[in-house]
Amino acid sequence: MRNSIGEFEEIVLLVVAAQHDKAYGLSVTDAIEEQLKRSVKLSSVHTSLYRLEEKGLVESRIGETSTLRGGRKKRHFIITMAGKKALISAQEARNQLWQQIPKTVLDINKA
Amino acid sequence: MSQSKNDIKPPRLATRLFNYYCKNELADSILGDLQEQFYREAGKGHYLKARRRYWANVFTFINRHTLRRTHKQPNHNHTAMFKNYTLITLRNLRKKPVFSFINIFGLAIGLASCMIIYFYIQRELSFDRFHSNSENIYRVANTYDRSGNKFNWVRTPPALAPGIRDNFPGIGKVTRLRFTDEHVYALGDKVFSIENGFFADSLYLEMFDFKLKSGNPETALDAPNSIVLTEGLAERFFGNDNPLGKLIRFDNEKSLKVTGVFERLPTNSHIDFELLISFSTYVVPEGYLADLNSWAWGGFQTYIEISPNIDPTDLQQNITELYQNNYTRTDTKVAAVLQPLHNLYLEYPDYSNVGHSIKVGDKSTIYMLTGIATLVLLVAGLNFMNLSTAISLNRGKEIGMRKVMGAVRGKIKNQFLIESVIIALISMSIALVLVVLAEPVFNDLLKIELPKSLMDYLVVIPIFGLASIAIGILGGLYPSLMLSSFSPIKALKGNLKTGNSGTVVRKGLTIFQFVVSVGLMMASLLVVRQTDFMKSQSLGFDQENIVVLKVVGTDIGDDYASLKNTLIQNPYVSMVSTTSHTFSGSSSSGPARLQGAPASESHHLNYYQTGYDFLKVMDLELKEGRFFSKEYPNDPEEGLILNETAVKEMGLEEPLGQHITFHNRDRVVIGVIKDFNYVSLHSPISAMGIVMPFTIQDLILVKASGGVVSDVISSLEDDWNSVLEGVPFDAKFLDEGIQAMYEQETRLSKLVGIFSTLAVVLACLGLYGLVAFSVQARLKEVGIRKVLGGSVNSMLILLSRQFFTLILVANLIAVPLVYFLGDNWLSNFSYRTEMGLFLFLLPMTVLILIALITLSHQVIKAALTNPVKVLRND
Repeated sequence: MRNSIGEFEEIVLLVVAAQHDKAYGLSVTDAIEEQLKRSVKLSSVHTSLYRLEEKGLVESRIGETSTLRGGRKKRHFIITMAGKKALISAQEARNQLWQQIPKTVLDINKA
Repeated sequence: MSQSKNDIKPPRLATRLFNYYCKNELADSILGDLQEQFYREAGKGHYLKARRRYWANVFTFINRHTLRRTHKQPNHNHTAMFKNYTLITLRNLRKKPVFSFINIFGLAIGLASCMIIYFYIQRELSFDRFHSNSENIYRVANTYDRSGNKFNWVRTPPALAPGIRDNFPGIGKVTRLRFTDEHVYALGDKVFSIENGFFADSLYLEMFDFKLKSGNPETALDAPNSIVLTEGLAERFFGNDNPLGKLIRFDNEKSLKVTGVFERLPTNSHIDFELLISFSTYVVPEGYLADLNSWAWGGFQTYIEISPNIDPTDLQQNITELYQNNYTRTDTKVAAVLQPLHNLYLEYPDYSNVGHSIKVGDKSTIYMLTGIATLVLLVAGLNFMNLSTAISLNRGKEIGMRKVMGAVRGKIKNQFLIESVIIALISMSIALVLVVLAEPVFNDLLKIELPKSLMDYLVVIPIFGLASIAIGILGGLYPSLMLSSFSPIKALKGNLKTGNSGTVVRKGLTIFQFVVSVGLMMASLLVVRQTDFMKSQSLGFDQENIVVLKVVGTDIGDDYASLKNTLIQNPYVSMVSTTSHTFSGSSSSGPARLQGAPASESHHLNYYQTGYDFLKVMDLELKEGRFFSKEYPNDPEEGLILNETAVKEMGLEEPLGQHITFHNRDRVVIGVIKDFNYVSLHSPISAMGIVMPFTIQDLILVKASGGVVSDVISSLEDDWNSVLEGVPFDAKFLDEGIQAMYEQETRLSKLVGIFSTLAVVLACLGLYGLVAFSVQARLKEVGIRKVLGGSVNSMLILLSRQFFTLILVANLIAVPLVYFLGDNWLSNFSYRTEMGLFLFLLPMTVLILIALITLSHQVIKAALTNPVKVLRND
């Protein structure tokens, strides 16, 4: 697949999609840290976002500012059509794999 | 950690760093995230943690997405601007040719002086460094402590080298040298008398890297009667033939086989020779009181090359012990001193008995020249700055235009800096040409060896190129800062006036320049006067009209009598005598004590051996008693004449008739002569004795009376040849040798003279610039004053007053400075001149006169300008 995305990139893309129109570097980082209980560096999230932008999966625009940020503007990221497709195909690929698992294997209560 | 709310701010330095590396388009959003995170965390009270995190982020954000791409920077069109700056520079230089010439040439002269001094010092410091093993080679010198009197001697006894070799096997190589003295070397009809040679141990050529063009360095000096020649000497003897294996007659008594020829020898070696003869050839001359097993005859240079693992300090101790065990005189404590080869040329001025054909440098000259070079360069640099500022002053319109067209201050600054670097580089090229042109002057007149090949000159380009760029930047800094600071409106009006601070800076610099130049002038005058003073000192003997004939290569023995008879009949000759030394520093020496006194009460006595009429020939003054006379047949055996210092030192109240044991022979004092300077005037006269010859006499003193020099010499040569056919005729005037002792001072005084003249010229150029500068700034004032009825004279006074104040202040600073330093320098001499008022007044007058001439040109021009011209525009 041409626009293959890595596991971390997928997560970042998911968060961007989830925080529709409100996603920026720090908010994505916070979401990953809080919801996935996973410690990430701000810089790696940024790097990931830029890479996604290079692949055309997200778009960015300069957004509003706030005094909390020392008067600096946010860069908002929005998922593109290609990004959505990538997410869906990743989802489908997973679903396919899920469906192949025999029911008994995942029956935790039985074991 | 409690911080008031206002204090909580992200670390500034980190932000700066981030902005430095991060792309502009990303910087804002990332930094915003960083700061949001920071404030959030700091707000929770984790100030330090927030800070740490902020810093860490600044570093972790460095990656390919965030880094600036230099090649994507917008094009500022540097080359085009640079081209424009160069063009404008050249145009401006052409517009004011006189000023530009003065500016460029002044700096070029300063740089050229520095280059010459640089070459000189470079050479002085390079001595003996060309030997591949040079850091492991030492000269063994020795010190004698004789009842509290310490003597530092370079030359050591002949037994020392073999002693070291036998007692400390495995330390490395040991070798010794003995100066050959003058001998006659003959090949067929080619007869040369050559002085510059050494007898050298066979290891000598293995130790030192004097390369052989032909012959084997390991064996060339092994066999007795072997000789190795320099390239030049081999050519004189053999032309283009192969000299190897040929025989050269030595003093008509033996033949020496040529076993090697040197390549051209480097001149920066402390040993200076034309030939080396194998040491096994050396025979102690007849009449000498010692042999080659002696531990008390200081006549040989000893060199050792030690293995790198040997500690020279320990070895020095061991050699000293060996020396002491063998040295028999109980009243003297001897010690060996290991002197590193690198240091021999410069570091041991307090060692005497250096021997002939050994070059000794002078460190103080190096220091002095370094000082002068620095001063000259400073003066030149300040000048450059003053003149550049002055020249640029009426470029107000250009600066204004540039500013209007959008040049920011930084660009104007750059323009002037680039301009001054370009001018400095032009000056450097001119300086190089000047140095190449001046090379013969320095080589011939001042005996300063400058490099001969062009390549050697090009070597300095990187050093002086950098120096010129630095001078350009430093010199251009002030004008560039000043000129770029004007507002375009002011600048366009064309009058660039500076505030008081600028004037103070320039005045300070001018005072400094004048202190330097007037100081240098005074200093050179002092050096010249001291040199003249020493030369004019009454030496206590007559040095004029005395010809020294040297008998080389043969013992004239009985022929002396007939030679003397022939000479006496020569109409040009008034008297004839013999001597062992010629008042040029050297003398023999030996222990002297009262007869019967213990050896521990010996005194160190320098002595001459002279013939009967010596006193009259040299016009010495006898204080008591008499000189040697044929009426007293015992004189040759036991007569002794002392000088006043010797009488005083030995504490003789009744010197005449006193019995003295001198050199193990009992003698009677028959006369006392007044002290005369038989060594140079650098040192005081020491105790001296005169005895009649007991070794072969080879110096004949002829007192000439009148006649043209060439006639006298040729008639002496005729006489010589009629008696001593086949013996080379060698005549010198006595005073030549004496002058040679003051060569160092003569050279120094010439050098200081040249460079201080340059400094004065440079300072005056600077003054010219400064005057032009300030006169221009006051043209309107002058115009108004004239309109209101001021006379030309009052204008002159108005304009020149401040400069004379500057000169006066400069003199007030320079005089005590020179007095202090000069006094210090004079204390090196035993005979020193006084620093009279003249010394200070003359340079002052000269400076004021030159300044007056410089000033008047500009000032009169300004004072005579029609006021309408300057006032019309306002």
